[in-house]
Amino acid sequence: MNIRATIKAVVEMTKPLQTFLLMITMVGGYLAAGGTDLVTLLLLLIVGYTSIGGTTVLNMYLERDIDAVMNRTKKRPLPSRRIGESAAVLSALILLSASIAFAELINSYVVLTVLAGLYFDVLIYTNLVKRRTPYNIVLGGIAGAMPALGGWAAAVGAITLGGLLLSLAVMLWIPLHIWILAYYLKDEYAKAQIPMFPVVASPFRTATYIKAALYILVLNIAVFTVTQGYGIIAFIATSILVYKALKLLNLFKAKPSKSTAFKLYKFASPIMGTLFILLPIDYWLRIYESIIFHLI
Amino acid sequence: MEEGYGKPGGFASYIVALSLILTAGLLMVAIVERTSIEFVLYLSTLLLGSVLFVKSRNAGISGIEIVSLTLYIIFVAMGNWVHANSIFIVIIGASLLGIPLFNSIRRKNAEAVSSILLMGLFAINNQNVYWFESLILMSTIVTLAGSKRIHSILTFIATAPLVILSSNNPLVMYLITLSFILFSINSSGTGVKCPFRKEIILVMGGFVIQAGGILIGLVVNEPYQIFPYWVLGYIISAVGLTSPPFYSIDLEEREGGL
Repeated sequence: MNIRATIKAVVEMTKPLQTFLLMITMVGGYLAAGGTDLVTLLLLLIVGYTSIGGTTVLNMYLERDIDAVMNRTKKRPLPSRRIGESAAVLSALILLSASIAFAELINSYVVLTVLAGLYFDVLIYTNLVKRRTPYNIVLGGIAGAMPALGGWAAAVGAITLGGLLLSLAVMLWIPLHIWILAYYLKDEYAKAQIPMFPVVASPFRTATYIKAALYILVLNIAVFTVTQGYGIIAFIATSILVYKALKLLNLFKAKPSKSTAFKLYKFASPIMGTLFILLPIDYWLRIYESIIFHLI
Repeated sequence: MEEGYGKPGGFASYIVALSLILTAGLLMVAIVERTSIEFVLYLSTLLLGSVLFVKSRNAGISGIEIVSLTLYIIFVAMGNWVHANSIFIVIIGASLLGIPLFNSIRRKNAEAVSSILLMGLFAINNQNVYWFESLILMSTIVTLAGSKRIHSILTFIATAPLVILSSNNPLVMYLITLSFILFSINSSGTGVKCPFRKEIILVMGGFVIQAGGILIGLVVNEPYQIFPYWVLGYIISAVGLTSPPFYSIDLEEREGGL
């Protein structure tokens, strides 16, 4: 196996699109907390890709048995034997070690979030709860929230309320993203014996839980806006998108179908993207507003 | 299922796996909360206490362990961390050092002998924890040489608070990690039943990261800088140790131990 093919396989295993979305939350968290240093931002991008990518590669190694069973995943590099197991693990370890080295150049709190992401994703979610309980993503979701917290910590140099609220926003969004996808693929999850919530619960119950999470998500952004003193534009825009998602969820509750589930799945990422793009804009508008106010 | 790796599930298996996972979690806290190291140690000890509790259900617990735990709780309540930490090491030593060293005599006697030895050394050295680190290092190697998977995992858990104690002494950390690596390489190549066989690549990878980090620490003479690498390696190794069905420790295989 040549090196170029191995590198290509490793890059594929880092799930670039998913990693990119999580990096948006990381950069969004950094900018929303008032981060301005370009060197730190560059370091954060490297930390983001290496930590999220490394964790994802390690996850794929641990789930190679499941991936081989599911149609959606059986063409991944490991089950399709485009990369060896040792090469996959080695790549993950190199990526993760590099992420620690770069995170240390920022601060200890960023190191903590990198390790916490790995810890909750691989040890807690994949090894401990994924194959045992339908509520697996509740604990696994903490891993998804770590990039946002890491970005915030890089700017502030501490873990503060604002960062925790942003992380909570990601955690509350995850049921929509994961459970709807799991419903869409529930036959495959059942075949692989993974008890995802939609596999064991009715679509009605699944949709009810997702709606509850979305209501709390909106409330959470409101709390962020009140406690941090900015975020009203992000709050309004996200609320509009959540309202549309709720309408689709009502449709899904009344008449569950894979086509509605797919529409909802496609709707999920823009909600998070909107929040993490608009929050920094909100922050800087507030800064300019106060400068103009002082000049007047 | 791979031969010799037991049946999935079981109360004790989960307790041990959870202890491993929680200790890894506590280690992360220590990265930023250096002032709370005692707190981390205390919780790590509680986790080890839970492992000992499981042991008591399955293989009995010696009186000396109960005395040690009681003393530990008293010292913690008094806020005397130096004494508490030393007792804590005695507890680990009693459980881990005694079993393989004195395997030929009755287990409970072995534990009693080893813990009395440790307590004696503790009294002689009066609060000097480095003696105990050396002892635990020895117990690590001896325990691993015993080839009992459960002993190895217990030792692995025990190294976490030990490393925090010796965070200003990278050489001790290096030796601990090196002993893991040497044992793993040696046993995987010689047919000795290796406790880390299932996902050895991950467990070994974790050890290598730990050793690499420690080497960096030695070079830059900044011991605390190595800690994040050490924790990363610990988590990676813990991933290997808890990978299904590896976390399922077969309690039937508890001759002389858990």
